[in-house]
Amino acid sequence: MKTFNKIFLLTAGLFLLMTACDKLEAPYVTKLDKITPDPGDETRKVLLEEYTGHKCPNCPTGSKVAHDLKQIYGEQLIVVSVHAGFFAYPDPDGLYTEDYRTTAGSELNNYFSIQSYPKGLVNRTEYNQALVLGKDSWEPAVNELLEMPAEAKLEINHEYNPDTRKLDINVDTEFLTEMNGTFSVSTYIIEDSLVSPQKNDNQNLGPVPDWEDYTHQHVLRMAVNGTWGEPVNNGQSVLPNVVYQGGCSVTLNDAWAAENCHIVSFVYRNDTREIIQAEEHSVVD
Amino acid sequence: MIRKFYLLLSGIVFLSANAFSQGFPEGGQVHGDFVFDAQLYQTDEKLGITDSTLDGNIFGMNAYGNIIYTNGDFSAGLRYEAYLPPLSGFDKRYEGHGVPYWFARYDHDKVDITVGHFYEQFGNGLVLRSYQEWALGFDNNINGVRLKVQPFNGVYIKALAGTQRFFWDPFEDNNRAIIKGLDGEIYLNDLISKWRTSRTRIIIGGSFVSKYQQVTPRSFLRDTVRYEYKIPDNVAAYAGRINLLHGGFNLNAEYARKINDPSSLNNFIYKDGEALYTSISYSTSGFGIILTGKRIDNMSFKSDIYDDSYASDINFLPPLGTQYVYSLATMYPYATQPNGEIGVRGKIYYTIPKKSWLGGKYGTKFEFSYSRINSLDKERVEPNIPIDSTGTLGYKSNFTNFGDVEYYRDFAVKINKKINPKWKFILEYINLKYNIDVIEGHPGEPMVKAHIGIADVTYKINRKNAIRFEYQQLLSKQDRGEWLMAMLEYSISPRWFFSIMDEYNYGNPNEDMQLHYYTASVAYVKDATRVSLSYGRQREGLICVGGVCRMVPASNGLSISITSSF
Repeated sequence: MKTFNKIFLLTAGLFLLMTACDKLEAPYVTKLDKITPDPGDETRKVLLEEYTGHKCPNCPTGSKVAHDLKQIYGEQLIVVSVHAGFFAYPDPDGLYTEDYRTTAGSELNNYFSIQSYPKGLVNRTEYNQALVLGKDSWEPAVNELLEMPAEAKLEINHEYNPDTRKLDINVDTEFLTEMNGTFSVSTYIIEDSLVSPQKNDNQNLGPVPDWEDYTHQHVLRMAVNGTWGEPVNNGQSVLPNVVYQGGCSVTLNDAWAAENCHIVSFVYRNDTREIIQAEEHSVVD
Repeated sequence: MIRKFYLLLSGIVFLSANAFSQGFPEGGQVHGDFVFDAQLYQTDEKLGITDSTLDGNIFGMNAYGNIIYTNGDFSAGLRYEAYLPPLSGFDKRYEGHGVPYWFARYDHDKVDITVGHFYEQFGNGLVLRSYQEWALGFDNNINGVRLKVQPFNGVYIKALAGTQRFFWDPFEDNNRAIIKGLDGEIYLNDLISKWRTSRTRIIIGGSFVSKYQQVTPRSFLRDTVRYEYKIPDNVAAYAGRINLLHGGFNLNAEYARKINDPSSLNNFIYKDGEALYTSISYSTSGFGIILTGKRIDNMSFKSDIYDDSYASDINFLPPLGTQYVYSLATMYPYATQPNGEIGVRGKIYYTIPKKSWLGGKYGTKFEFSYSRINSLDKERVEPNIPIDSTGTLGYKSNFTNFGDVEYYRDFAVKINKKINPKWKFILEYINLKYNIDVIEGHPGEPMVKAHIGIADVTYKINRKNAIRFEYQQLLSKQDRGEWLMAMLEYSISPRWFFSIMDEYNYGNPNEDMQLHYYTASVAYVKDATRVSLSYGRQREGLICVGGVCRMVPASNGLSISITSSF
């Protein structure tokens, strides 16, 4: 036993030496190069789906992050705010009577198992092994994806009749390389500049706890061709230089301000749900 | 996973049989336990539960079975779990089934070796505790190796290395930390021969835990300029503790410290963390007193710095608020604030002796308790840097000062009295203040102030049959207002239990939510098996165990629960 004790104590000592700790000194952050977005016809665009709710006090901070990212990345970033889950329920009376929930938003919320808010999906692609991301991860996830070359190009053509409020949308998808698998295109309508109360816990941004004249941006209004869109191919390889066409129509709800509405289309892989390209166009040119 | 387990088990049995053939007894024992909890959900428009919100999820089920084989010094076991899908309120990442826990263990003389999965705690858990809590849906078992030895009389050493469970996610690509830990405990009275007969017993201990996770540093925006955090790959935490016993006196104190550990939960600040937990108690016949103090400062210690849920906790910060039992008293449970809190608690037990004027024939038990928990007293690290700013040291704090923000207060008095062989009762009064803004994240909502009264009366009809009646009332002008609760339970010992209960939120400021939450239950017990059925509404609320909480959404439906052991 004595020999064993010596061996054990020696092992324990070595073990302690191996368990290092990294003590850092200030500054604790490194300034990075300024971003210079390089928009072009074949630039990858990234979709950030922000899951939020008007009774979610932490969500204005998340929306601020999304807003800042939009300022930086411009047209290369498309934001859709999905109001869903517990915090999005409307109250029968009081401040929070607006109902921004949608059938598609609730379905996405359930499908991606959103447990807390604000959370986001960036191109529905994992970042650091996580699909549902906290606001701190949105920027690096967007940045990482934008460094990758585009795999497809989307073009939205539409006609809007302000009298009938009918909106016809055609989306042309052109893949830039040959790829296997089935791909689908989804088309959503989002609306900006909706003013209604929002819970808030960040007094640096606005009134707390109730921000009564809060401006909601990028609010998902509906999925025009269903939550999961429509396939552009039937499992055979998609080929470059071939335009895959898709179309859908919708009559805009009277409550929506057409001049604040945008069409968001994106193409994704059916098996992984990963979005490979996205595009946005305003309804009223 | 199961195949791996069987291969491991076969290998260890073979090796053990060869290496320790002398004294390895023939035969063995198998024991275990089984739990099945399920609920069938139904719509309830008043609770906002509609076909749309249920979205087809009308059934939930959590179940597990432990099977343990022991043969002399050797044991091995596994636990199968199934969440198909998880019950409402449990993390959806549990959905699925499999074997998340298996182990093989050899414990002989002064050496104890475990490979596979295990649970462990160093001291009070301030730097390491892995445990399972079924009611919370919490399991952070460690998958790795553990060695426990007793090199000298009175000296106990534990060493371990492994990775923690995180739902069903396999450990890969640094998705969580590798944990290494060493803990030593010395029973001085056993080690020092002169102290062996001393009435004063002293136990000292120390722990060291290091986590290694190499992650891609994240960047953040400050005024549209991007910065990247420096992230330490190795983070160490260490602790020292003492336990001193003398007669009815008991002192238990532990201090822990952790070096820079920026994370999502602490908003990526680089301040060292620290925690102090002390408990002093004295007890004698019919009287006891416990005083507890705790200070937590940036002491969240997680396997994944980017995860802000409890699921990746490496350590455990013991709760200070009273852990109440009665339903309305559990409406405002205190959840430990890992980023910072300071508090004290005192509790006195006193039993008025039997056959005295006040004590009566059976004596009368009294309990008084008081607790107070506040924020830390924080100051800026630099005049121009706001408190808690990301990418900085965050703040400075005075060790002994209480901050201005009250998190929790409670005062409770409880009387437990047996009047005669037929009748006994418990009366309890609780007065509490609960910072719902901080604890539940409802910013701007006023502090909840509540008075809670409880009466629990049991009438024993005869040797087998008893009736128990509970009446509770909660008075508050905040949150969901006033509640009353009544419950009638009839038991036919030892087999049957029947109960009906109603919680009525008659004082809810929203008249549409002045609802009855009624439940009817029946349970049957035979040997080590218990089957229970209940039907009714469940109110939304927090369920907390040991200061760790989960939110339970409101629901309505039929529940079944089966537990058994063998």
